[in-house]
Amino acid sequence: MIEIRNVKKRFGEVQALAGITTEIAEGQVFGLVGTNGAGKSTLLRSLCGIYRPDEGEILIDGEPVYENPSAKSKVFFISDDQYFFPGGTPMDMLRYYETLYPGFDRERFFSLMDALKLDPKRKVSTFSKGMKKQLSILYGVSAKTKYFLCDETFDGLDPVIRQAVKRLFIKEMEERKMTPVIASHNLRELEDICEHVGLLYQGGILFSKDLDSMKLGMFKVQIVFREAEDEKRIAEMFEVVDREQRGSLLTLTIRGSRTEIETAISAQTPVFYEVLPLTLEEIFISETEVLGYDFKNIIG
Amino acid sequence: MTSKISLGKLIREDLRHRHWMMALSCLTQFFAGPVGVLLVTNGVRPYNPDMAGARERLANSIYQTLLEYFSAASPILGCLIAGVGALLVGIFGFRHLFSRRMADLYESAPITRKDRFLAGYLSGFFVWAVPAVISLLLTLILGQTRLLADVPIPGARAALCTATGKALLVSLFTFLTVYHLCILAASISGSVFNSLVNTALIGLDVIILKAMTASCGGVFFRTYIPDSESVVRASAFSPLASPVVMCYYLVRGANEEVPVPVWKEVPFFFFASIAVTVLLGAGAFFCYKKRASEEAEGGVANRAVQAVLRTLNAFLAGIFGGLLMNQVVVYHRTVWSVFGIVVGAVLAYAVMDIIHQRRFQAALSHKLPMAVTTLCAVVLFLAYSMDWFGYDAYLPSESNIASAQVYFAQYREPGRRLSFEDGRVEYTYGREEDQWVTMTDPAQIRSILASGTGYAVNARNGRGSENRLLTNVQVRVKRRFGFSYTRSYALNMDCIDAVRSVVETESYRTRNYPSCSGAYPTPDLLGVETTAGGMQEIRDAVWARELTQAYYQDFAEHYCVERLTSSVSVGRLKLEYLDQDPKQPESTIYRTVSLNIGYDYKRTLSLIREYWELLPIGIEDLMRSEPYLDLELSWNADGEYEMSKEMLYSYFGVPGAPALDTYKVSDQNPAYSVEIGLGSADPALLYPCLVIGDYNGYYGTFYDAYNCSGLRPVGTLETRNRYLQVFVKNGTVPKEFVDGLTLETIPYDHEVHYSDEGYGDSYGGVMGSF
Repeated sequence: MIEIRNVKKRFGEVQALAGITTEIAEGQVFGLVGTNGAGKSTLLRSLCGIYRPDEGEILIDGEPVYENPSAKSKVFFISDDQYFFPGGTPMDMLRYYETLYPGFDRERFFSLMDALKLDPKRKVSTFSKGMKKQLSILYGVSAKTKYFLCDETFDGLDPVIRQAVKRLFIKEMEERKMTPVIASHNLRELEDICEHVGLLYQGGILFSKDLDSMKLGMFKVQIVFREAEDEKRIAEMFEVVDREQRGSLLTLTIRGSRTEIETAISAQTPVFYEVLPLTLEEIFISETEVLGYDFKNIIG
Repeated sequence: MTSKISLGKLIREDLRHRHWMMALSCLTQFFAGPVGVLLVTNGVRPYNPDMAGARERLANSIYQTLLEYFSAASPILGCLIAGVGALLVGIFGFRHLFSRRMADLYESAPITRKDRFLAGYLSGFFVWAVPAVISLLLTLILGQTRLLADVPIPGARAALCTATGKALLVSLFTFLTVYHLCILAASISGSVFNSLVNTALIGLDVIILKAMTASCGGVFFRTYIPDSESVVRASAFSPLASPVVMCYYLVRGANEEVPVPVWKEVPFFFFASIAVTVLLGAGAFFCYKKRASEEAEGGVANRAVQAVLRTLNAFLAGIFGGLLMNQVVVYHRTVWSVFGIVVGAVLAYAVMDIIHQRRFQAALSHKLPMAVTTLCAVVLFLAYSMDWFGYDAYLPSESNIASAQVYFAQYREPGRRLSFEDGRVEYTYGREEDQWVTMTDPAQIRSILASGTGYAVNARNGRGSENRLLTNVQVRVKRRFGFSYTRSYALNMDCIDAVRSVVETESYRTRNYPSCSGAYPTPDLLGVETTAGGMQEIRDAVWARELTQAYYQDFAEHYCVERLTSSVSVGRLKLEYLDQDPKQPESTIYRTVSLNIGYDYKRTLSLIREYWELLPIGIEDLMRSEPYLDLELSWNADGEYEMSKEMLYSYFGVPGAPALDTYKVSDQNPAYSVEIGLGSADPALLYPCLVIGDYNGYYGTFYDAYNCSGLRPVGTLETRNRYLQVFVKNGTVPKEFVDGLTLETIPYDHEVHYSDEGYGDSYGGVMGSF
């Protein structure tokens, strides 16, 4: 388990992490989402011991991670812009990772390279961006570390490879309880792979929940009320996170269980209503809007 | 928290990414070592193989060539390669500190920073060391094979081995010092550029600081002596200097004509180098370990380091700006110096901020520290320039004086080296320890110090002294309480008795005028040349010996402080010796020593007259031998120049100038009115044939004007040195003026001084030489 306790990190005037406390359980895919500059990359770099937190502590299976090879050996980190040795081939990086990660599975690496049709003797500099991402993932998977931290790793992958990587993750999780931590802006991609999501906002963690429970705790309701007073009654009963009206059709984002919401709305006998599940992206937008991040008014 | 990954594996992995460095290292060291030794010995061939002893000469020649290569070229090239190599492996071997992408890769790996540092450090070291050792061994083996086996030279092989060891040692120190310095700079920097800047700054700041201190002392203190020896020693404490000094001593030890026991200095430099290297290495490790990964691609990683570098360099730049202005301007020096300090310090501070923070807007981001630094530089500069701490005026109490050593630079024989048939070599250079006289009487010592201090204070205030006795008297004072110190003084006549009691002794005379005192048998005197009555050469060895003996007698007879003080002479006696060339024992070289002939050296003059019938030694000859009149006036830079000029005009009777007696000595007037003991000669007679310029002008801008007659326009006078020089056009001195001069009117009194170049008091007094 990764335990993050009141971690703060500041870069000059910028408070990148403002007292984050959360836990990442083993054997699940943890999605880290957040706005630009929310602190996702900083958090990941802190998790793998690159950054030393100004305050708080990060424990990997109970051990502090910074300057602790024992804890760091359980973590593999892929940055959003992975470094490869200049003029080097995948073999050069392979030797590097083999030196540093004694459990590195060379055979697995080559079999995956073969499966993804990557040439181990070709210079990495001639690889496309997506191929480099694939290569990074293969190193991470082959290093056989318990925790695999990926920063924007799925960006740049084509849909076929993305699905392949997802399957690969699932297989690794089944076989050896690998715990991927994936930071991404691509919420749709996270949605079908992550089991738990942490939402970062302005250096703080907004929430950290199971995706299912999160999806079951907030819904979008499209409704046409008979009287305006009906909407007020609903608003008194539930937390309305977002409201949008087009003509008589009202779209409300409401926090609550589906059954409770349906029961309450039925009682108002509206002209029409429909309760819809929210996508992760909609949940993300709604939650951040609650905190004042006004997406609708960013431009104009 | 230890890493399970072996250091060996990490080093091997690191080396795999430094192939180009290794290749470069191998290539350069191969050319500098084995190829180099083959090249230098390639041209050594016997001149005539059939000649007797040709083989021996060839063997010796090869050995000398090899020894020179191993002792000089090898350490110099080794140092150069080691220095450049250390810079490359130091900066580029730790380049992961400058890239966030690399930092992500390296810092996320499961090893400690200590292991990462050691792996990077050792692999960088091996990149240089392995090729260096192999190259030197190969060079040594090749060198040994070049020695002629059938003509063994005793100790030759051992000498080459020793030289190789020394070269390796010096190269090692060079490499480690620069390497540690670079890693330290890299560890506190966020980019290659900043690393290089910091390498230079950290490495050179210590030297600059010392140089700046010495410069301020030299410029502003009248009694300051730059201790060159301590400067050299101190440079060993500078990160970049210690191996260079080691190398210098190695080369010097190999090539110095005079066998200086240089290796007695080596232990000091050895331990200093070790101390510097260890300190830098420890600093590099500490900074690396403490460095935050996020500093990659930034400016300077550590804020405290930023502040130190900014402050130190701005401070130094400020002092430099002040010194520059002080030397450039003529009037209002203090104001201009302060301006120079402010500009220098502010600019340096702003530039450092821009470099550290990598943005132009950062130029004024530390206004308050910038102002404080500038203010400190101004205060220090003013403390120097105005001598707030009373450096020049310091005079210890009599009870605090334990003893002193005094060196009268003017009272000694010109430097020379004498070789004798028995192999003995004698040196009479002025700074030899035996020319320092130990004094133990506190009252006597204080009398000299008081005179010197008084003169210095007057000189500082733009006042000379009409009672000057001596310049460049160096005194080492040992105090009962506090450190000993050494100063250089000019002395007034008020301490002539104290000087006399030291100088007019038999022991002083024999030590400081050994030739003139007959202390040495004259070795192989070849001839005598005299400027008396025109340049003449005497090749009659018997007569030459007789003349020199006569000179010695005259010298001893007239030996007194007054006589020694006066450099007025009829001419010079140049003795020529045949000497052995220390580098080539079979060759001889000529050495000469010049001695002044006093007008009252009757025996000497009589013999010269006897030899040259054409010699009526008269005043005309004096004027011919020293064909210029050299007068100096002193004044305060900012207020008295015009007055001095007018006084000079008055002195020479320039039409329209006020009468000379209107000038009175006061705070506003120049030091004193011109009185130079010209007897009945009227200086106004010189007016038509004068050229007035400043001292530098004689060699530069006024050189062409030398043949002009009349006074130069005022506007062209340069007053930088605060004194004027008056030249008399050669051969145009009016006869009436010359007739007015007599030998008796040019005594060795205090008002006519020989202008002793470099040591003269440029601030005070009226000086004239004939």
